Amino acid sequence: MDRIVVVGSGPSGVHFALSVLRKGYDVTMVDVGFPKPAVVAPDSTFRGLKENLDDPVRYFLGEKFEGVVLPQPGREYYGIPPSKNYVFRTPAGFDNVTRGFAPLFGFAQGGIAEVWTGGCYPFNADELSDFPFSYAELGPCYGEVARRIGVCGAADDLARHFPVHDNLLEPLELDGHSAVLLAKYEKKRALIQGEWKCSVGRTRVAVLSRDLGSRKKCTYLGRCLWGCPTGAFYTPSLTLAECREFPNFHYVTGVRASHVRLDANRRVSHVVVAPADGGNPQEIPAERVALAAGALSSSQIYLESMYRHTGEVLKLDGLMDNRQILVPFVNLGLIGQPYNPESYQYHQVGMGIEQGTPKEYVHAQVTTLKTAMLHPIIQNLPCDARLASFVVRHFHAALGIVNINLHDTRRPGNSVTLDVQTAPGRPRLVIEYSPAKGETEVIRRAVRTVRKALGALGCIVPPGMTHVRPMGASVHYAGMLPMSRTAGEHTVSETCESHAVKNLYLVDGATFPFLPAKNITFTLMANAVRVADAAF
Amino acid sequence: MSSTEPGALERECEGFCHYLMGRAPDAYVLAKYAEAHRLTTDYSRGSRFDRLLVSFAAWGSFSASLADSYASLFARQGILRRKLVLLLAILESSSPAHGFLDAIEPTPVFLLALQLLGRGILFGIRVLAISLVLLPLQLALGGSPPRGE
Ligand SMILES: Cc1cc2nc3c(=O)[nH]c(=O)nc-3n(C[C@H](O)[C@H](O)[C@H](O)COP(=O)(O)OP(=O)(O)OC[C@H]3O[C@@H](n4cnc5c(N)ncnc54)[C@H](O)[C@@H]3O)c2cc1C
Ligand code: SF4
Repeated sequence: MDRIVVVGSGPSGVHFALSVLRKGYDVTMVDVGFPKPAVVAPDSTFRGLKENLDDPVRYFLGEKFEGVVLPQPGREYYGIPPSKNYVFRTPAGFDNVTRGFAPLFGFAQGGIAEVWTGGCYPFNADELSDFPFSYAELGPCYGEVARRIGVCGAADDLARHFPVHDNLLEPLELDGHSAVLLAKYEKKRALIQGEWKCSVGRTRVAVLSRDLGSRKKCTYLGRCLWGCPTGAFYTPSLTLAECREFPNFHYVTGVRASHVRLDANRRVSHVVVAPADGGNPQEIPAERVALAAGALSSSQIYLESMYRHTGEVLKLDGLMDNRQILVPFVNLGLIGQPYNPESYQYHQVGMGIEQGTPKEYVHAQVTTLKTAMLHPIIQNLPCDARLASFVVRHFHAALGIVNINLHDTRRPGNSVTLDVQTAPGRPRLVIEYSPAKGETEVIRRAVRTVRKALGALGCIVPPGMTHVRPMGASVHYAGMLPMSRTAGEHTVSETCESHAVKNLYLVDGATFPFLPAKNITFTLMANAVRVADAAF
Repeated sequence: MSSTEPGALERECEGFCHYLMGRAPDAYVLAKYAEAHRLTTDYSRGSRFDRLLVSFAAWGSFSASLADSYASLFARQGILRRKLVLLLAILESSSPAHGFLDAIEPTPVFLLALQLLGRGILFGIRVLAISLVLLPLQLALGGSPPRGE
């Protein structure tokens, strides 16, 4: 059997690798792969950490107090805690140029999804209509991924937007605030769903509501944001660990792939890697290569490979990402109430808003405030810190935030290319993006519907606090080397094999021809499984 | 008082803790507050007005509430606010201090509304009163540089 080299250990890479390993292939995974620090006090609750750790401030705020969110205009409240900073470490010499796009790159073992919030939504038939395969082909792969990682959710009103696949686990226990929202929705369904075409229900999340193999179900420690210490919350490093148990799996970590070397017949012969902290390149022979370095990094490897082979600097159009809008709200009925820190921390309620056409569907996740750092909220209120602390203490149980996602399409001009001039020998990725015409109106409409729905659920949206996040913030990158049945200039086949380079596969978001408003990662994993099944 | 004098940071931290949560910090909070000041310049670099505001706030709980009321509107990124935010972050991360933000008894909304109204009015009065002194001073001495400058 061919020797397969997989680049990247994110969700795309590990699920592809697991599938081909099970088929008996010899797999070498090359990865920058910064490792995760040791788990701290695995049985402790969020409050328990504060009470029992020797140096809790170091854990929560970091060694250099980098977790303190200081007043700074335009700074996003959403912060990555110091315990997960390792995910955003970059290899030596890593650099890029961006216009209109603020990308996040992750080089950890398990990829950037080591900090994800676990939202898992299958695309439906309409959303797959630009893909060269149908829901019938992808559906079983969703089921397979759900079996591997554990996805919980319910077949409720939102099922009209996200199909129910196999192996869906029963939902988690609701936190108090989310329960109040859903109970209110039951009473106001006719208005919210009937009039405003907004369905409300349970989100689908990659967390265990019952034991799965050696992983134990969620015990409501409330530490999800800092990193679930029990493995109840899924991250791809769990699948990487599973891959590492195969004797036919070789994990080469601490190296960054720059390009693949092509022979005279335009077939990949080697993957060229260099130590992530600097050093001489080395070549790894390969019969087939699967790029799963994240859509941006995989595109960069593709671009550099073509540049080194032909001397031509290509430009790949079609970069997509979901625009996200954050709408904070206050649930009036919960003001002055205590909150329970021992709850699942991320979103449990979702909203799905129908639009003119099914592909324009708007997706939103509702996160109620439970355990979290409060000083970022306190310092944002326009009053002194003591009064602000009083307000936050008494409003804690009533606060929440809706994260609205909009779909995106491939458009010329939203592109990636290489800058080969600035540092010869070490090309930089150049990323350019500008929003679609009419986006402002789409945002306004979506926010208005969410506000109305929240109003009907007994919540108010404080004026002036809605925040349109910069493009790149959702980290649902896709579109530069799209799947296509017919060979285009820089396209891949139905099985994600490059039309230009025969034994080169792209198994991440770079190949998606359309990006619905839903979080992409569940489909990345399902597609990686589909490719492994169909082409290997 | 300047935070470079020995013991000054400790006194400042004590004053700010009294202001924020009505009680003194424990040794751990004091140590972490001092450590943060040692490790980064985020809490020391600023304009002359910034330093003056911090010195004034460090006199005690009342002056801290006056200075912070002013800074919350007119010097949001100044050193005083940064120090208070740092202290809040330390307090909410450690035990037993975190209880001052975490734990509340259920409070009827009308009572809460009354309390908020009262506190809001007092905040307004503090801002008005202290602005008469601090606004001209700030204009004369210069504002706050953003973080990292
Ligand atoms: C805060 C946050 C929350 C999120 N929440 C959700 C969510 O709820 N639901 C959802 O669907 N998605 C979510 N996402 C997005 C999700 O994390 C990404 O879609 C997903 O990680 C992409 O997977 P990937 O495997 O394609 O790439 P990545 O996760 O980026 O993995 C890339 C891998 O390749 C390696 N690599 C990169 N370049 C090279 C190179 N040149 N050489 C060698 N190795 C390389 C890296 O080390 C890494 O292992 C979230 C993201 C963030 C940041
Ligand atoms: S609440 Fe979060 S951190 Fe705790 S066990 Fe569940 S998933 Fe893990």
